[in-house]
Amino acid sequence: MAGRFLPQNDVNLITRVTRELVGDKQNNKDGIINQECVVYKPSLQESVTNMYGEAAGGKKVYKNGVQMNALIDAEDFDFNQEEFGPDAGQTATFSFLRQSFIDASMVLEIGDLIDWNYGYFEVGTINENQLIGGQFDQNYSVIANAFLIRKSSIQIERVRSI
Amino acid sequence: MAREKPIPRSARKEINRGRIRSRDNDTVKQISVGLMDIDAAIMFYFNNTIQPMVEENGESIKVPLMYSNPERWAMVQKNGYLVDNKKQLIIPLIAFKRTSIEKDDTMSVDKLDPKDPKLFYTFQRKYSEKNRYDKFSVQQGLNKVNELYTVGVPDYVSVTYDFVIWTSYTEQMNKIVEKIIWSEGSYWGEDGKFKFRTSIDNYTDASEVSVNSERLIRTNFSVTLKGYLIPEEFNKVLTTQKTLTPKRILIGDDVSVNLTNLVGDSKTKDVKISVQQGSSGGALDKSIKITAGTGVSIGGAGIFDGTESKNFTFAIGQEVGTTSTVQFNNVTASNAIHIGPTSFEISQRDDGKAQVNTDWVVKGDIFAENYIVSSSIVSMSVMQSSGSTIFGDTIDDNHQFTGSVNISGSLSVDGVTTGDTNSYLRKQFVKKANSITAPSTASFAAVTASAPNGLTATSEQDFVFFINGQYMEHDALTIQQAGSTFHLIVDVSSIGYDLESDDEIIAQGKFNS
Repeated sequence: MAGRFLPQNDVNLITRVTRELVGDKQNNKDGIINQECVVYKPSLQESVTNMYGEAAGGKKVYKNGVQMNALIDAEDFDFNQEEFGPDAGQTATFSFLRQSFIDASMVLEIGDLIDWNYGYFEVGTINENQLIGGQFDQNYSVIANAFLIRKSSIQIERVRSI
Repeated sequence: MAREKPIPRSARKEINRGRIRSRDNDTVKQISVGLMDIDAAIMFYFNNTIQPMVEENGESIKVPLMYSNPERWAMVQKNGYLVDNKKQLIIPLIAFKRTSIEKDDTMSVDKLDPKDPKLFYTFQRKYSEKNRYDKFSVQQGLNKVNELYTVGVPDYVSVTYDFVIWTSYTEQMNKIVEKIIWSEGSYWGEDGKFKFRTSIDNYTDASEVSVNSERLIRTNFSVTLKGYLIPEEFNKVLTTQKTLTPKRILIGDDVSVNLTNLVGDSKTKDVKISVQQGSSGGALDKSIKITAGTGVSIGGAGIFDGTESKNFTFAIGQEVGTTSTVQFNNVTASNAIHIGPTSFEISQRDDGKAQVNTDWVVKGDIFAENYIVSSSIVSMSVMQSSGSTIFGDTIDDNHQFTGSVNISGSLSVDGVTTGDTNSYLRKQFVKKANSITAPSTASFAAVTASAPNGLTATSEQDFVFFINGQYMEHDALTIQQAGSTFHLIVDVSSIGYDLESDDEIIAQGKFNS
């Protein structure tokens, strides 16, 4: 329900403009910015965890990835060289239109993976705090702060050659 | 496919065939204890034994226990019950994590080469198909095979865990901490599996309240666990090894073996040694001489030199089996003799007397120079089935009874039956003459009592007569018994008066009734 000074037409306008900027993958419409990523959610039924809360040894299973459009703001690579030599790290912010998740019938949660720029980012925190007109039922965006995760940990791709 | 040539002998690995043994049918499992077993023991004990509970809205809520820092997706999604829809942790909550592992150097563990540890604990499987001793094996001279398992000595470690408990209220925290304190010091783990001794040093209580943050009650404590670690295998060498002892050791005459190398230093090993002779046969270096000893006769006694088989028959003269009837001339038992199915005992007392620890039934006579009943017996009953008893055989024998003697039958003393005597002595009756024949005879309807054997016969001295109340002098009286009538005859000249028919004559004395 829109507020007294925020008619639904205005909300629809903002949504439409945002989709034209970011893109609308669910309706096969490219946007002006048109940054794309793929969101992977773990299959809770098929992934078996041990007492430490980890699914090791190939016991982690992901559902099929879902292509999404987002505004992606990636920080520079940060190389830690103290313990094992050069070891890359990167953080990125993925800003999604909340309506795009509703259209895709999915919910972005902490622990999900985002495939972008030939790397995988694990969602560490999620902010859903952009309320149009201050109305909580007009929650507009889903902003995920993610970090680059090692491919050897996520068990999606075969990494090692030996 | 091309054929392959075998690898050179020098390149082959040394194989100890004694260790190549199938374990497919073993019920003895490989032993392994890992860190996960120890962690799981703690988690099991907390969830199933301590069972931390809190009261919340009138309900008893089980406080979840989690290992710290799980994967994010597992924490938020798989274990979604730990967080609410805003992804805030639901408290009360207990989290723990292993913080350190320290090897206990006070326990000696050989680990110079982990692939070949030298320190083992060996145990024997008591019952198995191999561990049997049948008649066929006896005939063949085979030892029973012992099934031995050797397990490498584990590494003893001290493992430290950090626990954090969060609750909303101090009252909830109190209940949880009280239960943990009560279980501290015990062995934590699951029954039937490995358990480990634990100890908790101290608890750090804190109430966290700050600006713009939630009030939280938090308790930290560390658990130190004494554990042990042993892998199931290391570089494909199992830490549990199975060995079977040999059935027989054959030593050919061309082999020189020191016996101590076979049986070790112990002199108590039960080892059968068969001597396998060469094809040409050979005598023993030192022949065996078989001779009979005390109580044993030997058929074929003589010298056995090993050149040919020889039978020796050992005999002791009779069967001595448990069901045999055995005869001995004299049997001496240093302690006691046990007889019968319930094993009554004949033994010697400290004072040298014989003692039987049960009732004693004698169907024949008992001959004893003295018969003494122990003074500790306060009551003695003697029951005779029939017959009489005789004490003493000469007139000068003296038999003493202390106390009273009750006799239900008669008692005869020196030929006199005491019962009859008493009855006779107690007889004293008064009669009145029922007729008088003047001048000298008075008649009574009475019978004189008969004196029993041993007493003087009844005479007029046993009576007193009165005439009209006056005593009648005895020397003038004579009595006669005629059938059932008692006659008093008076010498009137001596007594000085005649009897008259209206006189009243009273008699007192030994009448029968």
